[in-house]
Amino acid sequence: MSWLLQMKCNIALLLNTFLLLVAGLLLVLTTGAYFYALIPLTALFVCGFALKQHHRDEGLFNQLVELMQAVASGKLEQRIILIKGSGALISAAHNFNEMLDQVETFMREAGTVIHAAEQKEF
Amino acid sequence: MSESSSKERVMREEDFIVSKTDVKGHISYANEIFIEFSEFKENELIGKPHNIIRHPDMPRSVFRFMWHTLQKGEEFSGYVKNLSKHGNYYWVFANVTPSYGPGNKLLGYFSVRRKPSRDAVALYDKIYREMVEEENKHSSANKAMDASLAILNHYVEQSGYTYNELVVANEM
Repeated sequence: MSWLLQMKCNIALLLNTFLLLVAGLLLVLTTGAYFYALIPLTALFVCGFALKQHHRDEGLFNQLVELMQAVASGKLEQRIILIKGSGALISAAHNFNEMLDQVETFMREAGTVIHAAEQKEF
Repeated sequence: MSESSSKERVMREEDFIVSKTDVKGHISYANEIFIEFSEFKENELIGKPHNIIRHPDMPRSVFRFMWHTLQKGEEFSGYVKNLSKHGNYYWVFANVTPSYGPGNKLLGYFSVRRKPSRDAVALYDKIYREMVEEENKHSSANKAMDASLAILNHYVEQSGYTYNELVVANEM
């Protein structure tokens, strides 16, 4: 998702929450039924949850980018631990770790074979 | 944990347990298969000593031998019986290699564990039992280690291989 699209989503979310707040408040004031206060409360809750999740996903995405940069510069040792995020991003992070596990193991085994050949062990 | 409630969990053919530790042997990374077999949660493993999964049936001298090998900058391979959080156990064929950073500075260790052959498990189960029995006979820890390793050496010499050749041959 592009940065601009993300901004638009956030603005739309905040705008929706604001509209529901106003609508709920008006309904409570005009009808006198406090029941309608549930509308803005729910809206606030959903908004808070969505923003928190967005924040976590953004953090995980940045971790993934950092990891890829490390691999690009030849460092295979890094991993993402205690992964927090949602859906496809979690799967991407796990799979990136597993991929590096295989690559690092392969590199080490190749190193062992070269070492053994040098020592004429086998 | 009573013996009857302890179950063996057998690794699947494609399973690949990976972990990393710092220089002192504290876990810095554990893959999902490690988490599955150890039955710990990831946050219960990170930062803990790797011997959190050490099984009491394992001779202490095997780990001493492992650390000795790693401290020489060499890699260690061997069969290990591990203990899970809930008292179950699982046999692995382990390989541990040191990790070096810039300037050849030791950063920690990288360990891969695969499914061991059943023949190898039966053999090392027998050898390790003899070793633990020997270790329990000695009051001095050093003597216990030496006597226990002598048993392992005896089996290695009998095979006509070196230790490393033997563990690899057990998987062929």
